[in-house]
Amino acid sequence: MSEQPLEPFDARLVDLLTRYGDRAVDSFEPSVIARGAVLARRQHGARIGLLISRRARLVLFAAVLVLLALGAALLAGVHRPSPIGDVFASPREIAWSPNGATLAFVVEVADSGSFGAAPSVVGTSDRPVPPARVWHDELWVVAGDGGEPRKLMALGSMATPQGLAWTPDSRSLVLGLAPTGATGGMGEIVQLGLDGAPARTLLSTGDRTPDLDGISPVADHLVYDLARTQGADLYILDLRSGASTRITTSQGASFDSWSTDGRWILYDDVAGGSQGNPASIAWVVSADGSTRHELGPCCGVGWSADASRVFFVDQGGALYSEAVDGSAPPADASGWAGISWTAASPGVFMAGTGMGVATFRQGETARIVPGTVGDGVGDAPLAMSPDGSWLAFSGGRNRILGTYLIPSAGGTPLRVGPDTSGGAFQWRPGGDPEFTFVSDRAILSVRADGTAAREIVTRTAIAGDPLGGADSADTSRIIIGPSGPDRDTYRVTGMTWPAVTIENRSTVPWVPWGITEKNPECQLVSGLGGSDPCTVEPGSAVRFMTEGPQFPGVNLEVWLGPAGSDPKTAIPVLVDFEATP
Amino acid sequence: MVAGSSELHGEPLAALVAPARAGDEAAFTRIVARYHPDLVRVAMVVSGDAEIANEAAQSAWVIAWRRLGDLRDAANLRPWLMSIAANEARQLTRSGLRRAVRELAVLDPTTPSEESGAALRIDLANALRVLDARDRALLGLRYLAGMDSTEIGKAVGMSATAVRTRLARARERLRQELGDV
Repeated sequence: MSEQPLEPFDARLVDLLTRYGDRAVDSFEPSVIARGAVLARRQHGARIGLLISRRARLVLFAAVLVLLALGAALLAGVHRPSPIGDVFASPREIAWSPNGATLAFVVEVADSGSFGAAPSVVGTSDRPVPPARVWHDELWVVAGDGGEPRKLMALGSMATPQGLAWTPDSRSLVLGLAPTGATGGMGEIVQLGLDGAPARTLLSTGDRTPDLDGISPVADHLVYDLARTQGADLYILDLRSGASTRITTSQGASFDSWSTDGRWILYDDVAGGSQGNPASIAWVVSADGSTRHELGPCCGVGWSADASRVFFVDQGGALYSEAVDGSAPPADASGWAGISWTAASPGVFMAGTGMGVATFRQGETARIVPGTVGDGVGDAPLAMSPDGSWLAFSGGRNRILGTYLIPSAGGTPLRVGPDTSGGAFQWRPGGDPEFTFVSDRAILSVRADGTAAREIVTRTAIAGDPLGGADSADTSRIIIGPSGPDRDTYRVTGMTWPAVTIENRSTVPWVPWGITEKNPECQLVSGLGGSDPCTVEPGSAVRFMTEGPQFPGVNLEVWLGPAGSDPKTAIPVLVDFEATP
Repeated sequence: MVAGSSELHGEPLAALVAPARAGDEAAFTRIVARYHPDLVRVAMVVSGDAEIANEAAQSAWVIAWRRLGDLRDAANLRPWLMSIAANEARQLTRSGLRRAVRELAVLDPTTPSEESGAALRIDLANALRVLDARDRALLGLRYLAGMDSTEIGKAVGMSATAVRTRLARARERLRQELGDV
């Protein structure tokens, strides 16, 4: 972190956000808050809550042991492939090969033995908690139509791929690697073939981390950035000569896309330009870095189908189409105030309007087709199918947050899974539109019309089988096995204060987030609004009251994770309330 | 913007963090006294709801007390605390989805000089509403906590590049919404 003079608008933002935040700052007594935090921790280990009786727990334990023994006997001799990772392994990045035949994915795996070791004691609490885990990422591939996943590469401890892209021939993957012990302390961009050959280093960046942005569609160049103090600068690597060309110096550049013919690179930059000092300027630069053309204040950029024109939105919200080489003046299709664009497929774009998603086709008068607005949740575009006929967006319908698909010509949104806006998703190239995303530690794919949903990589293939059997029959009972909850959606009926029971059949404590607000026991434990969750001990069950269904079909999202885990990595499940008041 | 500082009211932060980490409640109380408003502010930017903001800040202190041992450098205490508060606010905001109908600010100026300020606050509130919680968290951590993209990325589980891209777009969106063009 270093200081540098702020732009006027940045300084204004600091002031505005500070004053806005001040609206929530009440007088407070530090000692009360501190005491509450300390007490919350100390009481955590003493909580009894609504645990079932010790005797019942013993009976339950015995029953579980019998069931496990029976299950083991039944499964003897049956081939069960070993899961990719341990029980908490999670996929978090996916990339379809350009020909749609192979899916690459990154799985976050805990280093062996880093969980379940001797418990440690934190702070003044007498409650043992699991030690912090050490993670590493692994790169896997699987045939798009199914099959056994295959590991291509295990990255070093705590290492994360910095960009992941297929070569246009679909035969190899390219990714950036941060300098770690596994890379000999060198940042690298490497290429991995599907044939299992060792990784080939395309570029070494010393002690700096390269972030791969994209490979040219004709595979002769790639764009990467190197983070600097305040931002990043873009570089072009000529894959034939191995030479790199730095194309920006502002530390504020952002790659957008390659043209479909591989001749041009579209990016935006906070510096330069002939039109004063706008926030960002869109640029087009030739693949070899020799020719550059300023488009104008931007952003939101995309290509025409033939790569001859570029679309962008200026700061006033006007949409422009301009010849890529600057030979034709920009054409204005105004009326798009306050939007940002996501170039999704040649000639078709979609835009987030803050509270909706709109589509626009090249050559048509700018208009919203069909404008989607969720109830209380701002819809946000995710991606458009390669043929432009469908779009995926994140939003809410009937108060159910999720990932929805809708025909770009209009229609009824179809919910295909939980919200994936912060996760991994992609349309499969070629064939009928098929949307692929990560949900509940599995990699799912669903046709755009909602038919033929399938698991390309199952949850059990990644993290084992949570219960060793089918989902529980009781839809209001969340049963946690060694690999997590037994299903991703639960249904609860009841008039007021319906309850959901969480039963922990794993060997470590689990905690829920999102259902503790109306549970006095949890509030008593935390003393601070219930955000510090109740713990469900191994072999026990906790019954949680929930906020009553004030509306039919009201929905609640609950996150579950091992005690001591980060809520961001918890497993989301959906609880649907079917009752009416 | 400076994200971290090595002193608190002239006292080295390490001299407070170390005893707090060891269980000294008085030292922890002094940290709370100094940084609680910062936590509430960033949580307010993320949630847009004063009640959630205070709840998130309070929850953040529970986590901070429990995880002070994870803080490697005392000079990073403030951004570390604000990251926790921002994440708590995001959690509470999304778990509070059923409270989707937010209370809108009502322009009720009592004096002309307050009118423009009130209108500005409403503009900002409305401008922030068009962003999702993650983007609001990025803005809060950048402009209130003074963190750079790499630090923000670690705090919210994104790559630094993704942070920069989303921040640039969120900033641009705010600029347009606020008419600062």
